Amino acid sequence: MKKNKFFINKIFLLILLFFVYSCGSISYVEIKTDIAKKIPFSFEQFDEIMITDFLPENEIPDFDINKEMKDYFAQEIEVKTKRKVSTKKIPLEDEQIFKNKQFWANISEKDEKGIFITGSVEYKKEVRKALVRDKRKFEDPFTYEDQFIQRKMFSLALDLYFINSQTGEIIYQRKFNESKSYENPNQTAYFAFYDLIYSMKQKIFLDVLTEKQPQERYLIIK
Amino acid sequence: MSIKINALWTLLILLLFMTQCAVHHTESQIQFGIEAAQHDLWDEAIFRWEKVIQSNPNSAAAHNNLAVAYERKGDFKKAEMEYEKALQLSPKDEQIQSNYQKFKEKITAKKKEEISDEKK
Repeated sequence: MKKNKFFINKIFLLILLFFVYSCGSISYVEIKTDIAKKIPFSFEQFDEIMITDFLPENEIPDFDINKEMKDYFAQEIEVKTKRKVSTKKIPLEDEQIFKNKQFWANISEKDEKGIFITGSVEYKKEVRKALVRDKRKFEDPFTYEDQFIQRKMFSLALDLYFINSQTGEIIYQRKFNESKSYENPNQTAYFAFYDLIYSMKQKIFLDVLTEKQPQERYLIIK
Repeated sequence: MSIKINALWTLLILLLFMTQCAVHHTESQIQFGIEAAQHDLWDEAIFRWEKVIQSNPNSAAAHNNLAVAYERKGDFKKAEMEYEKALQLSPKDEQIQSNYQKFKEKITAKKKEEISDEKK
């Protein structure tokens, strides 16, 4: 009889422990979902998208950086937004012009809501030389020796502005920088430019066009 | 004496069972919200979790889940408020801390990228 009572008490204790455990434990589920990204504006708000001249901060011989930037952005934005994009020739004197609201508000002839895409750009090339310790590849791959190497380095810096054509206000502004070095001493400015602007375009579109990014979060049950 | 002990045990278990029932109702609403979220029905999920908070304002789980839902919909101010509330209620919860950390990183990452590009 005593043994039975002891056994029954043990069962009660186990049930009690089970309830305490279920009260105390916290369970959750991990969910992968598209989290909204804060974008500065939407191209849908505007009737017209206009690419204007870019202010070059330096010059590279036989390479019209302004023309290349205008053509590239006109094409890429047209493809990405599926909207008609026009180019506009606007002489730019210095960097202060981007902050001149009156200037930009007066340019647009029509009464439509438009957006100007413009900015200043610097495209540089230089040759970098260095002495490095590297393997003697052809003679003896297991021995290291000092070697003189030369690389052609290209860098592209863009201060990008998106300006409201009605008010002249800057609705988006950000600086971008890309650089890349090439072993090929005959690497051309054209080829390197398209390499750099492609990387830059990815960042720009991620900033102004991507609305959602997949991320993981925990949803808690209790 | 042994009858009294058994009666006490029974009473304790009944009390725990009743508590579990009350908790179960809140949990079922939270669970319903989670299932809605897993099916991409975030408005329904928000409705369920807000209902939980009305009856149980100290539910860290409901506040955390609401924060995730607001983040998903792009309402970052509300998301931050709900995360902070959840952390106040359950400061040691690792999942809430992880969610809030990722939320903050997302906001500051963009600012750091902008600063780094400007410095180059």
